[in-house]
Amino acid sequence: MKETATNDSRVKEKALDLIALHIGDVTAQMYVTFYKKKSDEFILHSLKDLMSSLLGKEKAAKEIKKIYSHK
Amino acid sequence: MLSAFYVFTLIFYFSDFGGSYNAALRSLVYVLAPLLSLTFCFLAIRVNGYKNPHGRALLYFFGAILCWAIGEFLWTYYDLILGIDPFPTIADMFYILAYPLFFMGFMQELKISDISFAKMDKVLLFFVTLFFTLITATVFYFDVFQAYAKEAVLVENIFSIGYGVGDLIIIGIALFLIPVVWEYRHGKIFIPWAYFFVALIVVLVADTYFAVYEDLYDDKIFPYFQIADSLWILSYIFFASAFFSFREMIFDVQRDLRKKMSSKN
Repeated sequence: MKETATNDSRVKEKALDLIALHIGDVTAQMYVTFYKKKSDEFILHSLKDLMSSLLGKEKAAKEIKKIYSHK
Repeated sequence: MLSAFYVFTLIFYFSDFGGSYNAALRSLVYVLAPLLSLTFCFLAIRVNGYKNPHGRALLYFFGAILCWAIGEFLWTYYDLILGIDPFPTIADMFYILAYPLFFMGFMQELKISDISFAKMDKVLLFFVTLFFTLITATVFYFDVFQAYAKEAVLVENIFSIGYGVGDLIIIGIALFLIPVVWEYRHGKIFIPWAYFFVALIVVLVADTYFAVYEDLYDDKIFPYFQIADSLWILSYIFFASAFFSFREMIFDVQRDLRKKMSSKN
Protein backbone atom coordinates (compact mmCIF):
# COMPACT_ATOMS: atom_id res chain seq x y z
CA MET A 1 0.00 0.00 0.00
CA LYS A 2 1.49 3.32 -1.05
CA GLU A 3 2.02 5.48 2.02
CA THR A 4 1.67 9.20 1.57
CA ALA A 5 1.01 10.35 5.14
CA THR A 6 3.64 12.11 7.19
CA ASN A 7 3.87 9.69 10.15
CA ASP A 8 5.07 6.16 9.58
CA SER A 9 3.06 4.13 12.08
CA ARG A 10 3.33 0.41 11.42
CA VAL A 11 -0.22 0.09 12.74
CA LYS A 12 -1.50 2.53 10.13
CA GLU A 13 0.42 0.75 7.37
CA LYS A 14 -1.02 -2.63 8.37
CA ALA A 15 -4.51 -1.15 8.76
CA LEU A 16 -4.37 0.30 5.25
CA ASP A 17 -3.08 -3.00 3.88
CA LEU A 18 -6.03 -4.77 5.49
CA ILE A 19 -8.50 -2.28 4.02
CA ALA A 20 -6.91 -2.62 0.57
CA LEU A 21 -7.05 -6.42 0.90
CA HIS A 22 -10.77 -6.53 1.62
CA ILE A 23 -12.29 -3.53 -0.16
CA GLY A 24 -9.66 -2.42 -2.62
CA ASP A 25 -7.04 0.22 -3.26
CA VAL A 26 -9.48 3.01 -4.09
CA THR A 27 -11.07 2.92 -0.63
CA ALA A 28 -7.73 2.33 1.06
CA GLN A 29 -6.37 5.49 -0.54
CA MET A 30 -9.30 7.43 0.93
CA TYR A 31 -8.37 6.05 4.34
CA VAL A 32 -4.79 7.30 3.90
CA THR A 33 -6.24 10.82 4.05
CA PHE A 34 -8.67 9.97 6.85
CA TYR A 35 -5.93 8.43 9.03
CA LYS A 36 -3.54 11.33 8.58
CA LYS A 37 -2.28 12.53 11.98
CA LYS A 38 -4.52 10.05 13.79
CA SER A 39 -3.32 8.02 16.77
CA ASP A 40 -2.86 4.25 16.64
CA GLU A 41 -5.78 3.88 19.06
CA PHE A 42 -8.09 5.86 16.79
CA ILE A 43 -6.95 3.88 13.76
CA LEU A 44 -7.50 0.53 15.45
CA HIS A 45 -10.91 1.57 16.74
CA SER A 46 -11.97 2.80 13.30
CA LEU A 47 -10.61 -0.33 11.64
CA LYS A 48 -12.40 -2.58 14.12
CA ASP A 49 -15.74 -0.86 13.35
CA LEU A 50 -15.14 -1.08 9.61
CA MET A 51 -14.01 -4.70 9.53
CA SER A 52 -16.71 -5.84 11.95
CA SER A 53 -19.39 -4.39 9.72
CA LEU A 54 -17.87 -5.91 6.58
CA LEU A 55 -16.64 -9.30 7.78
CA GLY A 56 -18.48 -9.90 11.04
CA LYS A 57 -16.97 -9.49 14.52
CA GLU A 58 -15.24 -12.87 14.71
CA LYS A 59 -13.45 -12.63 11.37
CA ALA A 60 -12.64 -8.95 11.95
CA ALA A 61 -11.06 -9.77 15.31
CA LYS A 62 -8.87 -12.41 13.66
CA GLU A 63 -7.72 -10.00 10.98
CA ILE A 64 -7.01 -7.18 13.40
CA LYS A 65 -5.06 -9.48 15.72
CA LYS A 66 -2.42 -9.64 12.98
CA ILE A 67 -1.99 -5.88 13.29
CA TYR A 68 -1.55 -5.99 17.06
CA SER A 69 1.32 -8.42 16.63
CA HIS A 70 3.10 -5.83 14.45
CA LYS A 71 2.62 -2.87 16.85
CA MET B 1 -34.24 -3.64 -12.11
CA LEU B 2 -32.86 -7.18 -12.13
CA SER B 3 -36.15 -8.56 -10.84
CA ALA B 4 -38.05 -6.66 -13.54
CA PHE B 5 -35.68 -8.07 -16.16
CA TYR B 6 -36.43 -11.58 -14.95
CA VAL B 7 -40.17 -10.96 -14.96
CA PHE B 8 -39.90 -9.93 -18.63
CA THR B 9 -37.83 -13.05 -19.27
CA LEU B 10 -40.59 -15.27 -17.86
CA ILE B 11 -43.24 -13.40 -19.86
CA PHE B 12 -41.31 -13.76 -23.14
CA TYR B 13 -40.55 -17.43 -22.52
CA PHE B 14 -43.82 -18.71 -21.10
CA SER B 15 -46.30 -16.72 -23.16
CA ASP B 16 -46.69 -15.70 -26.76
CA PHE B 17 -45.92 -12.08 -25.99
CA GLY B 18 -44.76 -10.28 -29.09
CA GLY B 19 -46.38 -12.73 -31.49
CA SER B 20 -44.04 -13.29 -34.43
CA TYR B 21 -41.32 -11.36 -32.60
CA ASN B 22 -41.47 -13.65 -29.56
CA ALA B 23 -38.45 -15.72 -30.63
CA ALA B 24 -36.44 -12.53 -31.18
CA LEU B 25 -37.50 -11.15 -27.78
CA ARG B 26 -36.49 -14.41 -26.10
CA SER B 27 -33.10 -14.32 -27.82
CA LEU B 28 -32.68 -10.69 -26.79
CA VAL B 29 -33.12 -11.39 -23.06
CA TYR B 30 -30.98 -14.52 -23.43
CA VAL B 31 -28.07 -12.44 -24.71
CA LEU B 32 -28.73 -9.42 -22.46
CA ALA B 33 -28.62 -11.47 -19.25
CA PRO B 34 -24.86 -12.23 -19.35
CA LEU B 35 -24.22 -8.65 -20.49
CA LEU B 36 -25.96 -7.42 -17.33
CA SER B 37 -23.68 -9.63 -15.22
CA LEU B 38 -20.65 -8.35 -17.10
CA THR B 39 -21.68 -4.74 -16.58
CA PHE B 40 -22.09 -5.11 -12.83
CA CYS B 41 -18.86 -7.11 -12.59
CA PHE B 42 -17.00 -4.36 -14.43
CA LEU B 43 -18.49 -1.72 -12.12
CA ALA B 44 -17.45 -3.78 -9.09
CA ILE B 45 -13.88 -4.04 -10.43
CA ARG B 46 -13.81 -0.30 -11.00
CA VAL B 47 -14.82 0.55 -7.45
CA ASN B 48 -12.68 -2.15 -5.82
CA GLY B 49 -9.60 -2.06 -7.99
CA TYR B 50 -7.90 -5.21 -9.22
CA LYS B 51 -4.64 -5.32 -7.24
CA ASN B 52 -6.10 -7.24 -4.31
CA PRO B 53 -7.34 -10.86 -4.22
CA HIS B 54 -11.02 -9.77 -4.45
CA GLY B 55 -10.16 -7.64 -7.48
CA ARG B 56 -8.19 -10.41 -9.19
CA ALA B 57 -11.03 -12.84 -8.47
CA LEU B 58 -13.46 -10.38 -10.06
CA LEU B 59 -11.22 -10.17 -13.14
CA TYR B 60 -11.34 -13.94 -13.55
CA PHE B 61 -15.11 -13.99 -12.99
CA PHE B 62 -15.45 -11.24 -15.58
CA GLY B 63 -13.45 -13.39 -18.00
CA ALA B 64 -15.60 -16.42 -17.24
CA ILE B 65 -18.89 -14.62 -17.79
CA LEU B 66 -17.49 -12.92 -20.90
CA CYS B 67 -16.80 -16.41 -22.31
CA TRP B 68 -20.39 -17.41 -21.54
CA ALA B 69 -21.69 -14.17 -23.08
CA ILE B 70 -19.74 -14.87 -26.28
CA GLY B 71 -20.99 -18.45 -26.21
CA GLU B 72 -24.63 -17.30 -25.80
CA PHE B 73 -24.27 -14.80 -28.62
CA LEU B 74 -22.73 -17.38 -30.97
CA TRP B 75 -25.30 -20.03 -29.98
CA THR B 76 -28.14 -17.61 -30.69
CA TYR B 77 -26.53 -16.55 -33.99
CA TYR B 78 -26.19 -20.15 -35.19
CA ASP B 79 -29.65 -21.14 -33.97
CA LEU B 80 -31.81 -18.11 -34.78
CA ILE B 81 -29.98 -16.38 -37.66
CA LEU B 82 -28.28 -19.22 -39.50
CA GLY B 83 -30.83 -21.86 -38.50
CA ILE B 84 -28.17 -24.53 -37.93
CA ASP B 85 -27.53 -26.82 -34.96
CA PRO B 86 -25.26 -24.81 -32.66
CA PHE B 87 -23.69 -27.99 -31.23
CA PRO B 88 -20.81 -28.61 -31.56
CA THR B 89 -19.41 -25.23 -32.58
CA ILE B 90 -16.97 -22.64 -31.34
CA ALA B 91 -19.72 -21.49 -28.94
CA ASP B 92 -19.08 -24.63 -26.90
CA MET B 93 -15.38 -23.80 -26.61
CA PHE B 94 -16.27 -20.48 -25.01
CA TYR B 95 -18.83 -22.09 -22.68
CA ILE B 96 -16.30 -24.65 -21.46
CA LEU B 97 -13.45 -22.13 -21.13
CA ALA B 98 -15.49 -20.30 -18.47
CA TYR B 99 -15.25 -23.16 -15.97
CA PRO B 100 -11.47 -23.04 -15.35
CA LEU B 101 -11.70 -19.24 -15.19
CA PHE B 102 -14.28 -19.53 -12.40
CA PHE B 103 -11.94 -21.96 -10.66
CA MET B 104 -8.96 -19.59 -10.92
CA GLY B 105 -11.08 -16.70 -9.62
CA PHE B 106 -12.12 -18.72 -6.63
CA MET B 107 -8.48 -19.68 -5.93
CA GLN B 108 -7.76 -15.95 -5.55
CA GLU B 109 -10.46 -15.69 -2.91
CA LEU B 110 -9.07 -18.66 -1.03
CA LYS B 111 -5.83 -16.70 -0.47
CA ILE B 112 -7.60 -14.45 2.03
CA SER B 113 -10.11 -16.91 3.40
CA ASP B 114 -9.50 -19.12 6.34
CA ILE B 115 -11.48 -22.11 5.22
CA SER B 116 -12.31 -24.64 7.81
CA PHE B 117 -15.21 -27.05 7.60
CA ALA B 118 -14.45 -27.94 11.22
CA LYS B 119 -15.65 -24.53 12.39
CA MET B 120 -19.10 -25.07 10.93
CA ASP B 121 -22.08 -26.29 12.88
CA LYS B 122 -21.98 -30.13 12.79
CA VAL B 123 -25.65 -30.57 11.83
CA LEU B 124 -25.28 -28.05 9.02
CA LEU B 125 -22.09 -29.79 7.92
CA PHE B 126 -23.92 -33.13 7.77
CA PHE B 127 -26.67 -31.75 5.52
CA VAL B 128 -24.11 -29.93 3.35
CA THR B 129 -22.19 -33.19 2.88
CA LEU B 130 -25.38 -35.07 2.04
CA PHE B 131 -26.53 -32.38 -0.37
CA PHE B 132 -23.23 -32.24 -2.22
CA THR B 133 -22.90 -36.00 -2.40
CA LEU B 134 -26.32 -36.14 -4.07
CA ILE B 135 -25.49 -33.27 -6.43
CA THR B 136 -22.15 -34.79 -7.41
CA ALA B 137 -23.71 -38.19 -8.07
CA THR B 138 -26.52 -36.63 -10.12
CA VAL B 139 -24.21 -34.40 -12.14
CA PHE B 140 -21.71 -37.19 -12.72
CA TYR B 141 -24.44 -39.54 -13.93
CA PHE B 142 -26.34 -37.16 -16.21
CA ASP B 143 -23.63 -34.68 -17.25
CA VAL B 144 -20.63 -36.99 -17.61
CA PHE B 145 -21.65 -40.65 -17.80
CA GLN B 146 -24.84 -40.17 -19.87
CA ALA B 147 -23.19 -37.46 -21.96
CA TYR B 148 -21.10 -40.01 -23.83
CA ALA B 149 -22.80 -41.30 -26.99
CA LYS B 150 -21.21 -44.16 -28.97
CA GLU B 151 -22.77 -42.99 -32.24
CA ALA B 152 -21.58 -39.37 -31.83
CA VAL B 153 -18.36 -38.04 -33.36
CA LEU B 154 -15.31 -37.52 -31.15
CA VAL B 155 -15.68 -33.72 -30.97
CA GLU B 156 -19.28 -34.02 -29.79
CA ASN B 157 -18.33 -36.42 -27.04
CA ILE B 158 -15.38 -34.25 -25.97
CA PHE B 159 -17.61 -31.22 -25.65
CA SER B 160 -20.44 -33.13 -23.98
CA ILE B 161 -18.15 -34.62 -21.35
CA GLY B 162 -16.33 -31.30 -21.07
CA TYR B 163 -19.56 -29.70 -19.89
CA GLY B 164 -19.93 -32.41 -17.29
CA VAL B 165 -16.39 -31.94 -16.03
CA GLY B 166 -17.03 -28.20 -15.93
CA ASP B 167 -20.07 -28.80 -13.75
CA LEU B 168 -17.98 -30.94 -11.40
CA ILE B 169 -15.60 -27.95 -11.12
CA ILE B 170 -18.60 -25.75 -10.27
CA ILE B 171 -19.63 -28.24 -7.58
CA GLY B 172 -16.12 -28.07 -6.09
CA ILE B 173 -16.21 -24.28 -6.03
CA ALA B 174 -19.71 -24.22 -4.51
CA LEU B 175 -18.69 -26.75 -1.86
CA PHE B 176 -15.63 -24.79 -0.75
CA LEU B 177 -17.58 -21.57 -0.95
CA ILE B 178 -19.81 -22.73 1.90
CA PRO B 179 -17.22 -22.32 4.69
CA VAL B 180 -16.21 -18.98 3.11
CA VAL B 181 -19.82 -17.76 3.17
CA TRP B 182 -20.21 -19.23 6.68
CA GLU B 183 -17.16 -17.34 7.88
CA TYR B 184 -18.59 -14.03 6.64
CA ARG B 185 -22.14 -14.72 7.80
CA HIS B 186 -22.29 -11.81 10.27
CA GLY B 187 -20.75 -9.27 7.88
CA LYS B 188 -22.00 -7.34 4.87
CA ILE B 189 -19.74 -9.29 2.53
CA PHE B 190 -21.95 -12.32 3.22
CA ILE B 191 -24.62 -11.00 0.83
CA PRO B 192 -22.53 -10.90 -2.39
CA TRP B 193 -21.05 -14.31 -1.62
CA ALA B 194 -24.48 -15.76 -0.89
CA TYR B 195 -25.77 -14.49 -4.25
CA PHE B 196 -22.68 -15.94 -5.96
CA PHE B 197 -23.23 -19.33 -4.31
CA VAL B 198 -26.89 -19.39 -5.37
CA ALA B 199 -25.85 -18.44 -8.92
CA LEU B 200 -23.52 -21.46 -9.05
CA ILE B 201 -26.25 -23.80 -7.78
CA VAL B 202 -28.70 -22.46 -10.39
CA VAL B 203 -26.06 -23.06 -13.11
CA LEU B 204 -25.75 -26.68 -11.92
CA VAL B 205 -29.51 -27.18 -11.89
CA ALA B 206 -29.84 -25.66 -15.37
CA ASP B 207 -26.97 -27.70 -16.83
CA THR B 208 -28.26 -30.95 -15.33
CA TYR B 209 -31.83 -30.23 -16.45
CA PHE B 210 -30.50 -29.63 -19.96
CA ALA B 211 -28.47 -32.85 -19.85
CA VAL B 212 -31.58 -34.83 -18.85
CA TYR B 213 -33.94 -33.24 -21.41
CA GLU B 214 -31.48 -32.33 -24.16
CA ASP B 215 -33.49 -33.80 -27.03
CA LEU B 216 -36.67 -32.05 -25.92
CA TYR B 217 -34.70 -28.80 -25.50
CA ASP B 218 -33.22 -29.10 -29.00
CA ASP B 219 -36.73 -29.54 -30.44
CA LYS B 220 -37.89 -26.54 -28.36
CA ILE B 221 -40.65 -28.57 -26.74
CA PHE B 222 -42.68 -26.68 -24.10
CA PRO B 223 -41.83 -26.38 -21.19
CA TYR B 224 -38.36 -28.00 -21.33
CA PHE B 225 -36.77 -25.37 -23.53
CA GLN B 226 -38.35 -22.56 -21.52
CA ILE B 227 -37.34 -23.96 -18.14
CA ALA B 228 -33.70 -24.54 -19.14
CA ASP B 229 -33.23 -21.09 -20.66
CA SER B 230 -35.01 -19.29 -17.84
CA LEU B 231 -32.81 -21.11 -15.30
CA TRP B 232 -29.63 -20.04 -17.12
CA ILE B 233 -30.91 -16.50 -17.28
CA LEU B 234 -31.72 -16.67 -13.56
CA SER B 235 -28.11 -17.67 -12.83
CA TYR B 236 -26.91 -14.53 -14.64
CA ILE B 237 -29.33 -12.45 -12.57
CA PHE B 238 -27.83 -13.90 -9.39
CA PHE B 239 -24.28 -13.26 -10.63
CA ALA B 240 -25.28 -9.67 -11.44
CA SER B 241 -26.82 -9.35 -7.95
CA ALA B 242 -23.58 -10.60 -6.38
CA PHE B 243 -21.45 -8.02 -8.21
CA PHE B 244 -23.99 -5.25 -7.64
CA SER B 245 -24.18 -5.88 -3.88
CA PHE B 246 -20.38 -6.09 -3.60
CA ARG B 247 -20.09 -2.73 -5.34
CA GLU B 248 -22.82 -1.21 -3.15
CA MET B 249 -21.04 -2.45 -0.03
CA ILE B 250 -17.86 -0.60 -1.03
CA PHE B 251 -19.82 2.50 -2.09
CA ASP B 252 -21.45 2.59 1.35
CA VAL B 253 -18.04 2.54 3.03
CA GLN B 254 -16.76 5.32 0.77
CA ARG B 255 -19.92 7.40 1.33
CA ASP B 256 -19.66 7.05 5.14
CA LEU B 257 -16.00 7.98 5.02
CA ARG B 258 -16.68 11.10 2.99
CA LYS B 259 -19.33 12.14 5.53
CA LYS B 260 -16.88 11.64 8.41
CA MET B 261 -14.18 13.61 6.64
CA SER B 262 -16.47 16.50 5.73
CA SER B 263 -17.95 16.69 9.25
CA LYS B 264 -14.43 17.03 10.69
CA ASN B 265 -13.83 19.92 8.28
